[in-house]
Amino acid sequence: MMESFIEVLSAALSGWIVLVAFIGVLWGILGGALPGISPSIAMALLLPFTYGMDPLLAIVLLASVYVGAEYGGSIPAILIRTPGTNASAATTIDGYEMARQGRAGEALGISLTSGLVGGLLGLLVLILATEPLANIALAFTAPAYFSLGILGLSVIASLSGESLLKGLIAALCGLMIAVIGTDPISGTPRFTFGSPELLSGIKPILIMVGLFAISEMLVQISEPAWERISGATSKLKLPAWAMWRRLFKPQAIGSVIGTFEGITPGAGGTVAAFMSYSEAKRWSKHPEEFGKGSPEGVAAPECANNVVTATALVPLLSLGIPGSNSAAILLGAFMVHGLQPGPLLLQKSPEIISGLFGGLLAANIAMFLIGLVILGPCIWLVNRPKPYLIGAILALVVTGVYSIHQSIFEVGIMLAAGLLGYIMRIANIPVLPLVLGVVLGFMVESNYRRSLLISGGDHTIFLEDKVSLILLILSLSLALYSLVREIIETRKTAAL
Amino acid sequence: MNFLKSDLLLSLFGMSFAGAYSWVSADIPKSMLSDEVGPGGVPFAIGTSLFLVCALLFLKSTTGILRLKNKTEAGSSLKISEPSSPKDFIQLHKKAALLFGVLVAYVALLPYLGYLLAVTALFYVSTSFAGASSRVGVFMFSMAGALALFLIFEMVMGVKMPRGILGF
Repeated sequence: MMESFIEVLSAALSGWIVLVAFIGVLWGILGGALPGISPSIAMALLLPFTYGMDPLLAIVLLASVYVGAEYGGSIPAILIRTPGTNASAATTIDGYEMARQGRAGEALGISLTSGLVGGLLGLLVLILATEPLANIALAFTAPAYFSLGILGLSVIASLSGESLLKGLIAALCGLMIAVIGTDPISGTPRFTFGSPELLSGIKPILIMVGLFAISEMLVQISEPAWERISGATSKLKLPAWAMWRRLFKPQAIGSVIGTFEGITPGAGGTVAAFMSYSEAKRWSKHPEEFGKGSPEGVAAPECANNVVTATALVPLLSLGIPGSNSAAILLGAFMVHGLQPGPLLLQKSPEIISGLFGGLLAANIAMFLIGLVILGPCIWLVNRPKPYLIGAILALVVTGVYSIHQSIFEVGIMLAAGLLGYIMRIANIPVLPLVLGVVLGFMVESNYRRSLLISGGDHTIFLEDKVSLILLILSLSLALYSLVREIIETRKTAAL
Repeated sequence: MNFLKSDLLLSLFGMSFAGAYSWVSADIPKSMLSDEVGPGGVPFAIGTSLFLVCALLFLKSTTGILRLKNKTEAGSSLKISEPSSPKDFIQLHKKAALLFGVLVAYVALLPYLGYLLAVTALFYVSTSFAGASSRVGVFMFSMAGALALFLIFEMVMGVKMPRGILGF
């Protein structure tokens, strides 16, 4: 254990890792401050750039963007009541009230320090939880891996949106995209329609960039411009010791909730932030202040959503299953560099994992240091006319994707994914299950067919393997629970 | 359009698509190297599952619509929200559709115009379309943006960007 911490610290002090952590955090804060640019979009914009980089630096860069974006989202949330990211929506409630009372600097200071506390605690959980979980997963057989993939898909499908059925539709569409290309066992082309470019399949990175970045720009083109921020509110104020003592309880609540929500695939920062807000209010000595500018109402959600930036990586690193949009982008980065996160990565390339932990430590410290001085540039950026930002983002995305393999065909695939993402938003279908279907499709199919090869075609192998049986029962239970809950909700709505 | 009716359309489209998909999957030929499942086995299972899920969604949205309709006919104050007309739907999504068209045009014209011209045009058209009013400002922004991207990607990162029929 002590060796792990020493490895993490020495990685955090490595020059290149510190540099990319700072760059990533800066990009993340600026991106997160722009309403409509989620952490996953900020990461997706940089993803093509990382193709030629060292794998560890690429992954640290993107993870740092995630860290920075969660703080960046709180800036417009506090100053103009417009959350920069979904997870900072809870911060808006009391943060904006504090700004209206002339306490914007105080709110921003609480957001920054709570974010640092959350980020560091989340990192500690990540370091402690990853290896034990990965060691359990090492004992998994092919049937167990198949069932794990099914569990991952059903968890995401049930937690990612309002409807289990729509979540399942998205997951199945993702699997459909994953099977395009060449059959892994016989080499027969599938759904390539004679196109040689499709023989190697559709790369998940194209789907992710299209679904997140392009579809968001298609939405933003019809949205009105966001409010301008006044420069007069640009002085950040760190909390005094008395305030730190008051914030201890909401930060503790945010940390605990963020830990559990982060580890649970599909739950994410937004759920953690709102739950933390509500629990902090319940346990506060001054619940009447909530909604009227309570510092605890800023501390709890900000701490929670920064804990999630680290704990959402637990299922990704230990099991290879991304639990959030941003973790899915990170998985894309791993795959682009030929790495498969999971228990085998921990065994074969532990330096990647300890390097990532060190990078996250550097990123959290960078977030605090950059956060102290970045407010002015953030305000400047948010105040730029939106049309110019849309034009710049679109040009950056199409250029970045082209740069991966110098393929115009791939840019076309990305645009098609963008259109699909837009249609999914109109139809209120969650996007994360589709992304998961794309990234897990190969694992699910290959382990399914490998299991049947082992058993000679007998499907009972999935029930005879104890781990596989438990995972399948969990999947079914979760799906049934979500379905029953949905039916009850629908009946309640119809009864009103 | 109320959400139940859009779910109804979604489920009908989904069932049709899933049916066609499963039909194509069943037709994927097996080879000597195929295992028992074959190359079409998993896609067929996915298509069938999608069909079943969409069928459940169809049932859910149909019973939901019937329940709401009965409530309204029984004199409840609950009203089914009127579906917006196709004209309203088009108006709502026109800008996004046109922006998507701009992106498709970029991809189609890239091999002929070359990267510099094509991305300048993309900058200009998308920024103007998004609502920027100053023509001179947009033009300068487009030129500067295109040049900056070209320098970063081709000079710094070493990625060869496409050349058009004019050679640049």
